[in-house]
Amino acid sequence: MTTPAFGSDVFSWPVVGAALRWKHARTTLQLVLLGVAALMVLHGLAGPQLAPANLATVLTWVHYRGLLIVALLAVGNLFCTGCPFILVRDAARRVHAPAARWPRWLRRKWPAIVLFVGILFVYELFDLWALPRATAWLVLGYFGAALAIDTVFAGASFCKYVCPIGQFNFVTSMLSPFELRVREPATCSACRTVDCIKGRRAPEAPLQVVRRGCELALFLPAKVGNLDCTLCLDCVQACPHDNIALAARVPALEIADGRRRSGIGRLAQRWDLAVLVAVFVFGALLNALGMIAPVYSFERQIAGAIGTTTEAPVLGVLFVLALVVAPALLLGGAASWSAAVIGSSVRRQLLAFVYGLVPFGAGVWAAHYGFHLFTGLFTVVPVTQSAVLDLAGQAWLGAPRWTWVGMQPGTVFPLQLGLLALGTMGSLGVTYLIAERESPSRAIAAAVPWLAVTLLLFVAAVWMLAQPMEMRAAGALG
Amino acid sequence: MHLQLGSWRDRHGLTRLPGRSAGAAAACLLLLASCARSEDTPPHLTIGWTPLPTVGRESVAEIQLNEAMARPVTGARLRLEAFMTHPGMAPVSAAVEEQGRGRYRARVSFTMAGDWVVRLQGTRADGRRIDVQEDVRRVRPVE
Repeated sequence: MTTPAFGSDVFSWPVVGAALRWKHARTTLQLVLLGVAALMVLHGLAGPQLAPANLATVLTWVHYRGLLIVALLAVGNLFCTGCPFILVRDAARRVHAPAARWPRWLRRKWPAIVLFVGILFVYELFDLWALPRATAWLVLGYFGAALAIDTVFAGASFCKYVCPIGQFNFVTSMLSPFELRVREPATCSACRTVDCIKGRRAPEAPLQVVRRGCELALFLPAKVGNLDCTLCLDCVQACPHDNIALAARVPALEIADGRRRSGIGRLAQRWDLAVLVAVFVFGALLNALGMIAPVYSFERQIAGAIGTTTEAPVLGVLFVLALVVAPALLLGGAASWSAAVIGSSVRRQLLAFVYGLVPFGAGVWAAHYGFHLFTGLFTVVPVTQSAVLDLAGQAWLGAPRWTWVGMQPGTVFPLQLGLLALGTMGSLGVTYLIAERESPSRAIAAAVPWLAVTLLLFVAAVWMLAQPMEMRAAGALG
Repeated sequence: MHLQLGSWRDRHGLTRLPGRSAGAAAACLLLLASCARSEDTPPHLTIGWTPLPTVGRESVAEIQLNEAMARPVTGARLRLEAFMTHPGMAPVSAAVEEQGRGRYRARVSFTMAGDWVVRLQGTRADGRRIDVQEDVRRVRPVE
């Protein structure tokens, strides 16, 4: 499969292109998000411990999550571009430059996968969405982790190997409509300085980097897709030939691209990435499951079966069922089936086809987080008014208008179904493309098991969306 | 290879930009925090519901507000807002009527099953602020 020629280059667009290419564009966006993060932390620690009236919980669990996935699907990895953790990290690196390199044995996604699952578990166990102070500490924890790791280890070790949000963004950005690409391959072939990865040096001081290259080890001429790209634009600033485009492309097509990727290798040889994708897909269903009424009776059944009245072991069983047993049965079953049909190994089928579920998983995340974003979009107004009242003691922005909320939950349902259907259709299409790549002569036979799994998951997701919502902070056993 | 990261910022005047901005932001936040008024000791709140909260059915909240030593809060001007524990959901507002001896009453219609928090805000008769809240666990779905 060859990469199709790209369409429009965003950098050539009027106003937007110039703004993106401005050398302080990223820092400006980071400063804005740093200011928002500071307000969230301050209000979370010092404001009222009432989640719907606190900026920490409202901005984190309603707006940040929702806008994150909207941005990923509509544009690209903008929240990694504007990540304030990295702004603080860069400031700290001016005081303490990292000297060590991230350990070779950790150069996989396993630490991030563990943290991703851990965050999902802690979120459900402690109902983080209902705890402003804990949410503020979570934000501070991210800042602390980025600082601690990246002031010891060079490059973007935190982003590439640790940050759970980053991994979520990397996987979802495979569906983004834009990608950083080389404009003219011939220019890169003739390039001897490879500043896009090594950084641009000052001619008078060759050891001094004046423009940072890609910290995530993505060499532009060999870069395929958006995976691991934080859209930091360092490569764009570093390239002396102005040979990098932010190119329009067909979303999700990269998932079926079997080529070796710079800084990543082949997707079909990466167990860690395959597991990350499985967690991304089944974690989406699990995270949404926590919001509907039937989960509470299911949790009570688990509690009865294992003879406990505490929530942690019950949630543990639920997580094992959702993130280990269900994927093993469904994905293992589909891989065995397609391997038997086309005479290949189960491992190869699993590692080739699991990525086809990414669009479906993104559809579930978008349907879930989109629900909160669209139903709570305007709550930022009264909560900000309330925060000013809390912090300043004066209603400088007026009395909180609590009637400002967003769309009615019922009216969002068709939108959720649309997002889910779009993701499912994407998965069906990409799965077929993978099947064509893996077994050109028997593509349909190879794809059928995976198409069946996708449709089964789609039915499960529709059933979940159709259930009455019941949001409890105390869980089934509280 | 040793890369001297960060030096390009010096050349473009960004050396102190994050530091200056962070300092200015911290100063503003400290100013805001110092302006915040101190809270009075909140009164003790108890709420009884008749009937038990159920989606789509009006429940009467019998509110009792007492200061220390069980002294009833009389003459307070209050408003009630009920929030779901999950942020971003539509709150419910209700007028609060005084019944005497620290008792107040409000009629609330919950809109979704799950856990809610009732927040009472207002002022005492002497103008001091009241801001108290109580959990309402397991508002039941429509039967």
